[in-house]
Amino acid sequence: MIETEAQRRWWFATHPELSGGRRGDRVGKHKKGKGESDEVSPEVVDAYVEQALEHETDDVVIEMLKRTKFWFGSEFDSKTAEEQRALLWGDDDGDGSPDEPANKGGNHQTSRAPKGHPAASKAGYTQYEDVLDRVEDYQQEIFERAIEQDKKGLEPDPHTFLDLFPWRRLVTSPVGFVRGLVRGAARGTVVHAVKKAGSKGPGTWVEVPRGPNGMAHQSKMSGQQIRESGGRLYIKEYEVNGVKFDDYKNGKLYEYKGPHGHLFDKNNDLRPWVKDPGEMRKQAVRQAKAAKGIPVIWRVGAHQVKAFKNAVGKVRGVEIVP
Amino acid sequence: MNSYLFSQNCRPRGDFRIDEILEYFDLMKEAFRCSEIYGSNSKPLELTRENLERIFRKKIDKLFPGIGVNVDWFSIPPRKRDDNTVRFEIHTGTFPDEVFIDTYDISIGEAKKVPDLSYFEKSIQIFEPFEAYLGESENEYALDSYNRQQEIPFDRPAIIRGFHYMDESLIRNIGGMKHCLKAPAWKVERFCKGVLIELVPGLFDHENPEHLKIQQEAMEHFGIPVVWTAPEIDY
Repeated sequence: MIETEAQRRWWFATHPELSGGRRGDRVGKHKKGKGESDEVSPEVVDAYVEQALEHETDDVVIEMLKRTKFWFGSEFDSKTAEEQRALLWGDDDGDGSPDEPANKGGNHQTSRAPKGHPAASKAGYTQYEDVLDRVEDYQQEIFERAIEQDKKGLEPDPHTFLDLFPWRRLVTSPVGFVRGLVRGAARGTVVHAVKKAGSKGPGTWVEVPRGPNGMAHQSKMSGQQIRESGGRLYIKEYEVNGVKFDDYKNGKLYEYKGPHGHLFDKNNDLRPWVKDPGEMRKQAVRQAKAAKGIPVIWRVGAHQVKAFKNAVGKVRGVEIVP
Repeated sequence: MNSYLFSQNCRPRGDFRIDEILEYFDLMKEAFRCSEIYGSNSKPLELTRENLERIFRKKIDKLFPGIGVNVDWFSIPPRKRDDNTVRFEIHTGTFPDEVFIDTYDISIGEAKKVPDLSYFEKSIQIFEPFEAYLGESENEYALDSYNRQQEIPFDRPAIIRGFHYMDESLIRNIGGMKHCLKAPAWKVERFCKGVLIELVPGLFDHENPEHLKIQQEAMEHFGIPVVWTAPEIDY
């Protein structure tokens, strides 16, 4: 039975596949509201890809984009169910009907692209596939090793210096590092191809490491993608005179504040015992100072405007809006 | 119950006003009947000149030293999470060439009783702010004092509060001393280096229509619009 914090850490360190609460894992996950869905309409995919193709010059990325449009855009949707199955599973036996997955002999759970999927034949994609395969093999090896260790039973609390030494990190962190590198690189290529270049203005876009709290909200609002690398999360922010803002658009600097409901009372006033209103005020003053007259807008929760105004106090140059 | 904020706005001088802060906390300990003042780490503060100097110096912003320092101190350790907590919000040490100001505010939770107003008068005499007032949270929000203040510089009041002190420089901008002393309020008197206006005896209550009516009349007297719409922000 896991009884101590040290045991709990050991267990999660040796069971990476079950560490759902690790840093960054929750990013992007949220409770879906009624009627909310992850699905993106094929027309939106078409529009995004068309826009990206206007700017993209790299052949590999162009090919990837075209295939994305084919598989997820309206073209594939417009085909009949029979034709879609034929495209997905191929028609090797020439009987005019798609072959059943069971007849193909392949392991469909592990293959990333079905037979006939054009993306699988591209050099760039294959390269990522190889790296991902190697990472998966490495993860499998680590997992098996962890199972072996698990059989030995739980370790006691650390008593010696050697017990305290986090040698297991040497095993688990390279996995996270490689996975982050590969995923980050692959995702970055596609994201940069699809996303428009950041707005120009008085400052520059810089990538900064940030904690997981509020990261998903910031990413959603600013449109900047979260990149995971080496177990850390990175996002692009807009830096003006050494001070960072979440976004810059239409000649205004933005700071996006996620939900702070636990800090407010029933009247949506900041609770008197909240320790950090000074930090908010300091942030507002620094931003107003660095902006040098450019409007600074804090976007906060609709019911939290009053509380944020109380917290920020009398800082000129910072607008607080829902 | 309503929550109140006692606010004192001072013109920046470029120093931390440590002597004034020490005197202010001696007064506030008596006003709120607390024997200690606690830092955000829930430990009691040593209220000495050397310690305050050390705390403020440590918090100076490296990039913009002129913007001053912020500290939040408490009447009860904040870890205890009690709505009786009184928070002392201090922004001090702003350089005179900045657009920001020094503020010495007290946020009083709705469960906490507001002390006798004479303590706030004494506090005004300590800091000699250009503006000080006891604002009520709901009333401030209803009249949108935050956005009003964004539109005007700090040389005139955004709204008139139940307990409101203005120094001569502010008074000049809203009609002069004679005009100010004629304000339709329960009590208007010369005080410290300006005028102290008390709209009603005791605490202002936003749920009392009489109080709101008096506030409206006072604001009209000073040419401050009661109905005000914030300019559209395209965001």
